[in-house]
Amino acid sequence: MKKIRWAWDNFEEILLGLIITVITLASGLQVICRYLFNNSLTWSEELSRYLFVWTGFLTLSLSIKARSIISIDAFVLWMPQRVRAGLNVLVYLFCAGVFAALSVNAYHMVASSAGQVSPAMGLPLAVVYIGPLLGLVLSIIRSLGRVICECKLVIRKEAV
Amino acid sequence: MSLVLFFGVLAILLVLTVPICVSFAFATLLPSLVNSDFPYTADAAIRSMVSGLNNFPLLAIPLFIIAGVIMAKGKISERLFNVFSYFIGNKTAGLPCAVTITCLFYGAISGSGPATTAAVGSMCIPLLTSVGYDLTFATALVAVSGGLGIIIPPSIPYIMYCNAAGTSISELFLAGFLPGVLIALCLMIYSYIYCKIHGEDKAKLNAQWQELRSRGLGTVLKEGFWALLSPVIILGGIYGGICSPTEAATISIFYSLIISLFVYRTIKIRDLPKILLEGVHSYAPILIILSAAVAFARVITLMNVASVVSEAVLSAISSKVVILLLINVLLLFVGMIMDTGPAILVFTPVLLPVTEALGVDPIHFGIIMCVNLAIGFVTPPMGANLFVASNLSKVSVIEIAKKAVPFILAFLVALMLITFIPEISLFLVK
Amino acid sequence: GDTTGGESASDDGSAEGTTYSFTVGTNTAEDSVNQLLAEKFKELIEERSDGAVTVTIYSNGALGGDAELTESCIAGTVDFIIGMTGSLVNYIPEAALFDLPNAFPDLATAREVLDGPILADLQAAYEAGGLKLFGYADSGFRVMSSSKAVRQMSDFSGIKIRTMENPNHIAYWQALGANPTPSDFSELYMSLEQGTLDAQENPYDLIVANKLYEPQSYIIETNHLLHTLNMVGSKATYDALPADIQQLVSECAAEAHQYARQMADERIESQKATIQDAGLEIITLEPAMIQEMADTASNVYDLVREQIGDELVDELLAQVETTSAAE
Ligand code: NA
Ligand code: NA
Repeated sequence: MKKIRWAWDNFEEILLGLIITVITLASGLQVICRYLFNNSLTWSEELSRYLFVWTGFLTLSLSIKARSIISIDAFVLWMPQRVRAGLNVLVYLFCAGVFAALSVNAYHMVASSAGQVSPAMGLPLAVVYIGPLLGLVLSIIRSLGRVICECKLVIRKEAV
Repeated sequence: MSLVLFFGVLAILLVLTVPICVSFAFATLLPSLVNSDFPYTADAAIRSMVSGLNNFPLLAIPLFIIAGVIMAKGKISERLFNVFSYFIGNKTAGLPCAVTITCLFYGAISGSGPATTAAVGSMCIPLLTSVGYDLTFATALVAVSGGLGIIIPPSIPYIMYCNAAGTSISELFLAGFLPGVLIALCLMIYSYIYCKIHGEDKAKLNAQWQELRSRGLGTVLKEGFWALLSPVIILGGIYGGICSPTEAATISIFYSLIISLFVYRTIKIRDLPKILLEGVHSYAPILIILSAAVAFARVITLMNVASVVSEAVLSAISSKVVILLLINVLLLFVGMIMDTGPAILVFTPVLLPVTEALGVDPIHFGIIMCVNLAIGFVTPPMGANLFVASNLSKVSVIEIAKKAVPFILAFLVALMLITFIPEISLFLVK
Repeated sequence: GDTTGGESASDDGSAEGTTYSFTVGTNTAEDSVNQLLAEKFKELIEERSDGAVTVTIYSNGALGGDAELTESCIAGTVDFIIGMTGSLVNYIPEAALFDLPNAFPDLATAREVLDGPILADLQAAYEAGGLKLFGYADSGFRVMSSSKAVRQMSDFSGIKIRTMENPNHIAYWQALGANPTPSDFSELYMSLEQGTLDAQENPYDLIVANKLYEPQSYIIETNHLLHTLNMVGSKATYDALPADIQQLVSECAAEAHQYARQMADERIESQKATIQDAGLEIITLEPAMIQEMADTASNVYDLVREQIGDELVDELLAQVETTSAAE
């Protein structure tokens, strides 16, 4: 149970760490094969790009979880902490809504790519597009997690 | 849908602290929500976001960020910096100037502004603060100097511009060298003024410098040798025909790993997961904004923002000087809200015919455009270097942007010289 | 395409007074055959519809790269796209027909064949994928630019040539003994200049527009593939149009394709001159060598047959045979 909990808490990090390792190795291998053996890999650039698509959407979810997502807070710095927490509840509900709308369409993208394969590796494109869907669904969950945290801040009766 | 309403909603979302990527994503959905005939739907938005990431040259950003973390952990940065400090560490503004020079140096390795900021910032910000410089100043310095990454070739925006304008990439690359050096000079002059006004912690600086001097030039150079060699390896990789600019980022990861693990022995194999994790956390907040910016740019294109805005600006005026000034203002504004790549793709076809009619060389205009957009790297809300730098130092984007204002003014001085003295760009080309 | 009710439009859906605004997307620069085709289409249809139809052209990938444009067109977000057939293969498998190396002996034959009975078969295939096909244009054959001269078969050996990410293209260059390297177009110039890559293959139109000849010493007229390009329409958009507008679209599109071919021929002459003025040598290959190249790469024919079946391939080859014999 503890292990599952740990894996869930670090899900994006684990996946992203693995992905960037594979990208680095594939790209390094390409340089070696092309320059030293004059025998280029035909799949390495395509693999890297597709993994990068996964990376982009997984980092969305990671940055919400790690609270590193970028927003402009200059205009709300004056607000008391509880008011800001209240605003955050609305903001992250809004985010979850936008991600939900996008994930419906990410799902369409997976569904409509049935039967299509990538040119170099012959990889089903659905596998590529599952990345955005996964990232968006995780982002909804992480946003709602953030909403719950901020709600606690609003309710908590401590001096501000 | 009216442009006022469109940008109004976007501004309100941003002010209410809705994350930038979400604000941009929602703005792309907005026109089709208001008017069901608008052809750009949510389906199209997600396609654009995916295709924005399905882009090989962008991979250089996370890779250079990870290489930067390795260089910092492996103390490669420290040794490289020691060599610079050995010579100018006791001079006024010596170290801030060394940062700008390092960005100039790194610009010749990296084709991207944010990647340069990441690579140089992760090594220089801790160093500057440890000898007493203000953290926000150090962060702003790196964020602005990181713009040199796209002015000094190789440069991904130059390649995009040439693609859109049909001009020669090799000529534009050559044209970028002198403007890059000029901008670096202007930034260094401001660093000097800043240090004169605010003073420096001479005791700390001198202690560090004396300690360094006591080790002797031979030792410092010997210790710094492998670090100094790293740009040589990476540049040599590109210019020696071994790797593409994006692959150079991979080379820099492997090179810095090998040096840190086996030569300097500053990191151990078991440190690698931590280094990787730190890298992942550094680039996490950036990538999705670049992706959302692509979708945003499509909507801006379909709403004809480029032609509406530029026609409004250009209709009444016929003076070349005034029009060039106005184009600079327009591009500075564009740089505030759009990322470099999409901005180049949207505005080159609109503005190039105007400047060509005025007799401005397309190569020269490419430099003007990219210098403007390099300034845009540090202007909120859409400032890629700000985001990267803010991540490195944990100073808020707005604080960095405030501290960057004088640097931006120095950059603007360079921009004016570059705009009105075409020879700065064209001297090496012709 | 959004159909906007004009001032006199009535709610009963009568076509009278209704206006249509179409978007056309390309991923090429404005100085290209693609753009000329788009502009001709715009000019023709706006004139002949008496202003009922307006066309907006978005070039330079402003509406997306090849894959994004194609998907947007199938979805109806973009009404028409102009691109090379190579970028359609994932959606219209039959477009792999144009991956058959050295299938056409010359441009005249190629064009006659593509205007012939095979067009109807391809139109059906495109329609199944959600796209309307109006005809084929081209910007001539794809040629090779290289830093090393190629005059005989053995010269292909080990040349690092950038190709598109297309298994048939990769297989072709492998068969010739070269080292095909699929890589990003935006890094191509730099890679050629620095010698990371030796060569690339594209039509003259793209080679000149992107100055790819600058870092190279030779153009080798391998003429291995016809650079077919066409304007395809969104089936969703097209089917929603009234019959008279459909007719007009098809007619103007077909004419624009013919015009694009003329323009391509004119441009290739001046593009060759540009390249020669820059000091490159243009190497033409003997028909015997071209035949040897096709024979050496016969496995690509097998690959394409595996992908799209024998029927279309045989039909194309038979028509090439009869057409070139008749000339
Ligand atoms: Na650069
Ligand atoms: Na900006």
